[in-house]
Amino acid sequence: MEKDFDFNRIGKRMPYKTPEGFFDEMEARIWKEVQREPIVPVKRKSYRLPLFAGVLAVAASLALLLVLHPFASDEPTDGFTHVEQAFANLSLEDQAYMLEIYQDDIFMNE
Amino acid sequence: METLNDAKIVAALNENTESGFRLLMAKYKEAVYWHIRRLVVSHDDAQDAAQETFIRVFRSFRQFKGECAFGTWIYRIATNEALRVLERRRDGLVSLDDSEAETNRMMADDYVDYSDWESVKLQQAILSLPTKQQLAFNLRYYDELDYEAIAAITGSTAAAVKANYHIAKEKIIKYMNSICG
Repeated sequence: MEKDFDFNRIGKRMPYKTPEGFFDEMEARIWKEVQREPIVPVKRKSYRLPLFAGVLAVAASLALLLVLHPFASDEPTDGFTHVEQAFANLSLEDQAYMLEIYQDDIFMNE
Repeated sequence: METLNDAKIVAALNENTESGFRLLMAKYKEAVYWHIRRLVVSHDDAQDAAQETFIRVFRSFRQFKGECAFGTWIYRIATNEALRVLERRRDGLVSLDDSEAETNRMMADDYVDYSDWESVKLQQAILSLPTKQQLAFNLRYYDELDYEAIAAITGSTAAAVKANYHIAKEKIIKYMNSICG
């Protein structure tokens, strides 16, 4: 009877290799990369209250704009323009942070 | 995967990010790299996917709620990264012939020792298996994980993993017998 292939003959030996010092270099590269951005703790519940306050503030600003609009200059503007302008003024990192935190928030997406 | 050490790693990550990072890397960098490498074969792809795995782990370890072992969670992220690499490759293929050619191309990596003929053939046998069987075989045979842990990593059941492992092993034996015969 033909003898089956014996796994013990090879064990965990593999033909794959890595460059010299690869694992240390990989660790150094990853450490450098993770230091670039701080760890963002994601605790969604804790963001509800400040966010709600933020939404109220935006709503209040909009209401104020509507009330003051007749006396304001003729420059075409609205609340969203201000919000967009403020968002555009943030750094790319802060924009990414805001998007990550608020993108699926029910208050922002109602 | 020792749970005690994992608990220490998580605690260290929470207390002091650098020492936690060093412990995390000391325990998992090689395991994660080799797990990915066995699936994607190319050293460059394995390097990128391993790097991405640790960046994800490090940035989101606070979201780890302990529903599974920490090591299982890391392997799961690593597996997803490896599968993403394979998916990207498959998107560029149009036929089964292409798929076979792709396997040969993958094995033509600079960092493969072709003098070890038997181990090259064993890897080719593993690569010819469907992904679920590859994962079950690799994680059991090389990483010595139990079926429950593998099931948690692959989103399957322990029974299905066990079946996949045994089917994979039989196919590999058949393949190796046919070429060594």
